[in-house]
Amino acid sequence: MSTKMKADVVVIGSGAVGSATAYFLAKEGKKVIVLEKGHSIGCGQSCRNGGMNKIDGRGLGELPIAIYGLKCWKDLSQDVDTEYVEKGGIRIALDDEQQEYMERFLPFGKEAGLHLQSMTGDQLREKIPEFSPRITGAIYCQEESKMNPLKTTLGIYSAARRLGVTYVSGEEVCALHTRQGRIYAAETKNGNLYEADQILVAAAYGSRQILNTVGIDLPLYSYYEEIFVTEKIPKILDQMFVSAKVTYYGEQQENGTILFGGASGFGNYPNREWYPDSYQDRKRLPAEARALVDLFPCLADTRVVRGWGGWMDISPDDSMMLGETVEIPGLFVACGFSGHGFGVSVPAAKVTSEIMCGKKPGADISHVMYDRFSKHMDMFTGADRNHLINDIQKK
Amino acid sequence: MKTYGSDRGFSGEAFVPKEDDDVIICRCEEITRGEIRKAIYDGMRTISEIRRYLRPGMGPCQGMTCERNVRGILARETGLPLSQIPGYRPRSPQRPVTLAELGNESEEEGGGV
Amino acid sequence: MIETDICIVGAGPAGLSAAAAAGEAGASVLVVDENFKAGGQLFKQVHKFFGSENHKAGTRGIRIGEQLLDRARKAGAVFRLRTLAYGFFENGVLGLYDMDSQELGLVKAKKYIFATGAIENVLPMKGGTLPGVMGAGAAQTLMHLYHTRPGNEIVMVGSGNVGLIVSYQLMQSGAKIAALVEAAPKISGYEVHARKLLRAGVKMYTSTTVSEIKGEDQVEEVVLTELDSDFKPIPGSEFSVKADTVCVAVGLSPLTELLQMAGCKLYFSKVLGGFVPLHGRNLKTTHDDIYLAGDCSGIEEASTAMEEGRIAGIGASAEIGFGTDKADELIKQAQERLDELRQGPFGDRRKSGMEEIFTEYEKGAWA
Repeated sequence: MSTKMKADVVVIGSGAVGSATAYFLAKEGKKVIVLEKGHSIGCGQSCRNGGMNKIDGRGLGELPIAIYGLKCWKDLSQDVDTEYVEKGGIRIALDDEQQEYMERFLPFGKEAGLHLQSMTGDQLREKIPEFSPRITGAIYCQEESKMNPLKTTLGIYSAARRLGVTYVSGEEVCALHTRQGRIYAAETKNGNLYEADQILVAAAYGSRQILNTVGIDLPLYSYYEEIFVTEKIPKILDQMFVSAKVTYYGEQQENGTILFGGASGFGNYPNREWYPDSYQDRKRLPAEARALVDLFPCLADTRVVRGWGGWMDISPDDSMMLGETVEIPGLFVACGFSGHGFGVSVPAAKVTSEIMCGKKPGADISHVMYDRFSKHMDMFTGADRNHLINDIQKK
Repeated sequence: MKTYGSDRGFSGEAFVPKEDDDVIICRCEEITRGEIRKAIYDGMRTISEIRRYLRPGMGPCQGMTCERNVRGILARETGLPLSQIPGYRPRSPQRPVTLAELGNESEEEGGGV
Repeated sequence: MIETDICIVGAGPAGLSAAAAAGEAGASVLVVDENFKAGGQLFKQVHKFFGSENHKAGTRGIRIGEQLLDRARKAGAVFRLRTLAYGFFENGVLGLYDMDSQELGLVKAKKYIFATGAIENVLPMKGGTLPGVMGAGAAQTLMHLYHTRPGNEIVMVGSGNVGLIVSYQLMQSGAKIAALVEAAPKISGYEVHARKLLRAGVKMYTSTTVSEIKGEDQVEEVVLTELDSDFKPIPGSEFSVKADTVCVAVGLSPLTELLQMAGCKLYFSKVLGGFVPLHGRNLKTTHDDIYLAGDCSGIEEASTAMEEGRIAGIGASAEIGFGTDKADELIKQAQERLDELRQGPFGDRRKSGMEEIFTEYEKGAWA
């Protein structure tokens, strides 16, 4: 039996971005319905990531939003138990070439207002002696932070519910509909119709197919990464850490467990059917285990308790895609977070809610608009997983 | 209380503490029955959500001790039959293994395909 | 990568029987088990089995275990004990961790037989995390594998066969059973076991449950309460029993993690212990290369585990061309013995549970 529901806003996707946008909109008095295709809330990247906010090393276009996040995260943490800890982050170099690669970013970061400090491996080990002697240098960014992604995503969901947001799970959107050129409704596989003046598509890679139904396409591709978690151990590290080219990352959660993951090269497999999100590659765990022990020799006897993986939606310049679509007024997008979305999920949601309410966004989003690629086709340089500086974003 | 699934709306009922709320269900993480019941009232309506929100099943035993009981509590609170409540998703490694051990691939037996 | 025709995970009665059957058919067999001893639950079963001669009536579980192990070895099965199967990966590869060499290895078998058994259910109780609270199976392991008496004054919760048998074994080890407690109005295990305990003076309380376990650093006192016909505690009916140990025997649940990792579909069967992998009469799961046997296919007994192991071992080997001439006949015989075991009031329920699973599997909707 199909039903029809009406709201001010329909959000497609219940992850951190979708739920936080719903939360902020509800605070502005909007009636919001969130549609989640899965059985559970926030079961995509929001519950699979490493729980950190890396700012230094992001595409430059994302920096304003990441910096806005410093305020957004703290405000949200008053209402939701995020375990947000802002004790900085470290980017690690294992040779001079990597150090030089990282330092290219320093002027841009500093210009954006970040406190960045370059240091030698010895200086790093003076502060955190557990780091391996192999590390030759590092960049420390004061503003970086870590948080508990599971508690945060579901905490935002719970808070949004308290504010009156309606969540519907097991409800997969199959098509969007317009009326007189404006967005009108989302139709689901169950045959239900959700009508609203504004619809936000925050469904990661699934966003692409949903937008296709109204003639919009986004240059997103899928990529799979794996991660693991250890047992609880006494605190050795407050800061999150990543490699120079952000190919692996890790941090120690407030509860004492250590999360560690990264790219393997196996991730860019076009056939998603063969790789359900329960997939674990047999070579990944041993490789990741060796890598972590390489970085922290003291962890050799720490036990790994669980490994998992997740699909990411990657954009050509590794940066998010936001904004109201030019093609269809009332239709908004928030996707393409390229595997480092969790740290900026809250500010991205905040600016999205702001523009949806007709306000000026609290951060400059002009360099992360969803249609930047088609606009600058002549300057498009193509996808590079470790892309550091994109000329388009300097405009 | 409304069952979950396609409608997660408010049940309208307030959380009522019960006498046995202090019984420990997840020993690894020391999570009580009351905390699990409260989480369900806070909107956690699937095993996956309860696990992520409160951490039962995330300790070293990975749910061997608590999974059945958490499913039971969810069944009782939501009115869903146990047959519709799956367990925790099993992952590798099946028992905790140290990082050194996990990285120690046998020369003869680890290679190949 | 280790290559073998058949890889069996679990060296309990089901796994050992499968190993013997597959080895005798001519297949190369690798058996892995995370324990230091093969035999699974059999090495804890010091009591004599009963039933027909086919089912080793009159023989103690430990002897049956030794015989099976011997037979499997003679059939050429290779054993890797203290070896954990830590994950099942794409393309049918099983990850192994060898606890002795501390090395990781991989197995690629043509067919797998999972005989991973079951785990004891945990009963949440107030004070249930005090030292001295344990599963009845755990108590049995302490006694028969580690030769340690779990405690001196024991409250046993649960009157199924496990609760009754372990109570008797605890008494044989020199402990006193302070009380045997059952929430239902009737004792649920075999009468022959219950009578042995009653003759020995054990107090059994039906329609009773544990309301609280008290103690400073360990179990010291168990507060019991009577239940009404709706299983609700009757206020004012509490009474205390002095004890230093509480053993819990409230059922088993199949261990199916590796099967799930391999993508095997599950089916819910209350009578068989919960979610079990969907499988056919030939013990094949919804994964074309994976068979199963024993308690992981549904909670039954050691004797049914052995027959299932045989059926799976013969079937898996025949599928890859070993022992095809004898397979049908041997499976038929094992199936007949299995049907014999699933008779009587206890067996009937399990039989209909299994039939339901086979019917669902044969429907083929999972394909």
